[in-house]
Amino acid sequence: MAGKYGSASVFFLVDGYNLITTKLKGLSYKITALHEETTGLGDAVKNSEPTGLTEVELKQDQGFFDTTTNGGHAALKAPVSDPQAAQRVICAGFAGHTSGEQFVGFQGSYQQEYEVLGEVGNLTKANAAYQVSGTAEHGEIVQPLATKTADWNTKTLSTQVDSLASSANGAAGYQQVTALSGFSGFIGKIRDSSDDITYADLITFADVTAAPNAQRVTAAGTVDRYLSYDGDVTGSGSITVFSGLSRL
Amino acid sequence: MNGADYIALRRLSTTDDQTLALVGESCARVPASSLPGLLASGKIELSHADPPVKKRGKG
Repeated sequence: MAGKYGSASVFFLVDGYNLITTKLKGLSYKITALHEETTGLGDAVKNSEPTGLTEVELKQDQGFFDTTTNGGHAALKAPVSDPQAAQRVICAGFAGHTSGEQFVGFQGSYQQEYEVLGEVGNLTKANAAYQVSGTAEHGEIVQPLATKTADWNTKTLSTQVDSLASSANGAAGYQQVTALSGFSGFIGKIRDSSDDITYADLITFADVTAAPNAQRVTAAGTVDRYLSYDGDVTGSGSITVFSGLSRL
Repeated sequence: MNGADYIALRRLSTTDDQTLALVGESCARVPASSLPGLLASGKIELSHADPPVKKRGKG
């Protein structure tokens, strides 16, 4: 059925950690528009008005407690308590790992809870919850999570994204590097184009020299309809990268 | 439109990421068919490299 997806289509990347490998049993996010009750004397029915505030909640359930290098425990064992702590860069998708499919990036995310569950007769599992102090930024996958061993760009691979229209208010680009070996550097870049012939640099991510690594970078102004992702490696080795772009 | 009349406000490149113009450079190598779209989205602007008009001397 077109437009319908199942559990095989879910992915979840946090700060460059691929947490779907922990065999999560559940992943959910909830966006709530906050309302204030405005019912008053004389009203016969209950009234409410939106306040202009929204709230985003993100939760992962029942992944395996995984202590391998770059596993779930390494990613989640230190919930954020320091007010100066860096925000987490989180990307999730429910429609598969395909160029042009939807993903959601969470701006301003703090991991708030980490719960390890040991039970008689069962494998140990772990839960985590995140407090999102920004918005859920919906966008399109421009580079599905994949391993590369040399420079590439999605336009020449014919997997550029056609968003069908341009947008005027800038964009947020997300990049997650879950594995890197051999290369001494890696620069990922998102380009946009109005005609799919001439491209312009839109977002250039900072040089990556080790994994896990995750970045969120914004750009202002018009974002044209076609999007291409370029990977520029230094040296020889391999790298596993995801990237998505949310039009703001 | 003539690309030489415009300068790039962003690095412009071919489909395989070969540079056509760096920021501030002339768009002479940019395909003419791409110029209207680039102008509309603010990625290029008209060059203001016209020579200053000489004032006529007295007498």
